[in-house]
Amino acid sequence: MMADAEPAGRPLLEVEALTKHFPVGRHLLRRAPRHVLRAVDGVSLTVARHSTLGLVGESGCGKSTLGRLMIRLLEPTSGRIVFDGIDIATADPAALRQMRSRFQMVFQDPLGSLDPRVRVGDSIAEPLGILGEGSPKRNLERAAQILSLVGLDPSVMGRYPHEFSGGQKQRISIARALIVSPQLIVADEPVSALDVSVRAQIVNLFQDVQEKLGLSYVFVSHDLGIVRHVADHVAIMYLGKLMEYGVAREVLREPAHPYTRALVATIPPPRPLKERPRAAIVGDLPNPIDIPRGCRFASRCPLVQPICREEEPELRALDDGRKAACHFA
Amino acid sequence: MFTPTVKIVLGAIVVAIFVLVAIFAPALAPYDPLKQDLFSRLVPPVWDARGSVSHILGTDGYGRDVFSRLIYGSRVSILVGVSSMLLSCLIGTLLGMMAGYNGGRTEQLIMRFADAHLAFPEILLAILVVAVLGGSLINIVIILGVSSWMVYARVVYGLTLSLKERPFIEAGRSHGASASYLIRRHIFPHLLPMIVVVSTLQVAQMILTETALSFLGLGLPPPTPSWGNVLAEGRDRLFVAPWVANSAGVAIILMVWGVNTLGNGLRERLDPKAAGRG
Repeated sequence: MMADAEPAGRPLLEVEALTKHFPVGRHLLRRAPRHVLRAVDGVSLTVARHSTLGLVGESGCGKSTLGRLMIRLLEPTSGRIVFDGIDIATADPAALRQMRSRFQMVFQDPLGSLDPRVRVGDSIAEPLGILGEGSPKRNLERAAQILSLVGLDPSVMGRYPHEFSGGQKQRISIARALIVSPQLIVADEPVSALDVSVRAQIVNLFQDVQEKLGLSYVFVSHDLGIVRHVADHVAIMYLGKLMEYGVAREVLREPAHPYTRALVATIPPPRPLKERPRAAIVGDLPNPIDIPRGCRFASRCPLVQPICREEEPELRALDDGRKAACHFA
Repeated sequence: MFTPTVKIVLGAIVVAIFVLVAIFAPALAPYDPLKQDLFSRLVPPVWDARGSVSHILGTDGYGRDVFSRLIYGSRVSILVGVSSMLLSCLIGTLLGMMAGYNGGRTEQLIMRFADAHLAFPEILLAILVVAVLGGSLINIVIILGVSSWMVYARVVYGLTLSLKERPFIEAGRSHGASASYLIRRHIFPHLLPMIVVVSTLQVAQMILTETALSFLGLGLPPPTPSWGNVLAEGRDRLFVAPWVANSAGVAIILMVWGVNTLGNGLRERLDPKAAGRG
């Protein structure tokens, strides 16, 4: 895959200082919320054309929220989302609806994301209908083509979602995202609900489709093993902020941030009996509505120094071009 | 595959008989339900020693044939029951979906209004409206329809609330679908079974309320052959001619039992989880 070669021209998607705050609780009389949960707290990154960005972090770190913000399934609190030169963070609903076909989403739960009362052929063709494109008959023909692209026989179009296995349902969801020929697919944990035995098949399907159609992915996952396999770039998130961001191969081979190092240490090794460094991550995530001063990872960091509890480190570029938010990287 | 249960079949047969009777009333009724015959007043039914075959269920105080009046009365009951059910179903489903899907202030407004309306006795409202506007078929339908939309609104609101969190709704939004599209294509079809069940049970309720209104003299004006009117007329001579009120009562019981059995059968079939609840 095209790991380091940055394609000419502007990137497909640019996210700048993106934040998403959720109000939590409310005062009895005042309008203002009691607390604010900063699910995404000032994230900037880019997605290159024909490449895959892996978005990694523990559950609750805001990676799924960030994925949804990128295609504006959630309203950002502030920041810019520039898709192919157009700011979609501020686009009005009508203009946004026109653009929706260019970025699609594949969800974690393949059963839930298909309406159980709709035949899969109609489900796959539906996005074309919403766009107001083509006749129903032409759209169904198109659905049949896409279905064979994702490795299912078009003869299953008349069946209902519950008649398929998890892997097949995820293929159907992918077909549904692909039918409008998007340039970007945000995949939110697309294989974590599947049996281990079919995960590899679906991951390979994502890669085959990328080879054939040349689109970009944002691959949201907590599984570094899979991300290492599919991603060209990787962004490591912790409590709504990026901890480390760079070319996947380099970041995962030689992590600069202690958090990344701890995550990498949890990847099952190819030879389990060989000695390896002990996982250096202890304790739970701090309460995300009450993030402590200083570095947000300080409470669990094995290398913590007094400065870490005082001053929050900026995400800064290191010598090899990657970025890390650590005073000691 | 939809396999009907005993309750559904039994209820459907009873309801079908009443519907057929209502449709073919002119052919089935032996007499004009309004024709008075003062020479054959208070003739007992056929099983009484003094009864005659010409009036199977006897006659009332004006010599009108009770059987014919009941046959025509089924038209009123079914017409009022079904059309007021449709009206309340329409209002309640629309408002319930709006409250559930939009949430926020819309939800507060609609659902709090429903709570307030639910606390207000239906009969009292009916008395008020009839006193002001008079009792006609259309007025009765409107009163009954408007005063029971809350049942639908509450059921539909709850279901919509949980449906809109299902991932396929978010998937639809990611494809650029509008709210009205999602409600039409992906929420309403899931509500339909529950709406059918509530509607069926509601028809029985409407028929009973219409009867009660007519009995109180707040329904259709007296000569009209409605079951409630027959019941009210029979009440005056309950000890002299019990057959008038009794046959109206039996007709009401049979009809309501049939509709309720059908409704409960559908509920158990379509929504097994709710079957235990009252």
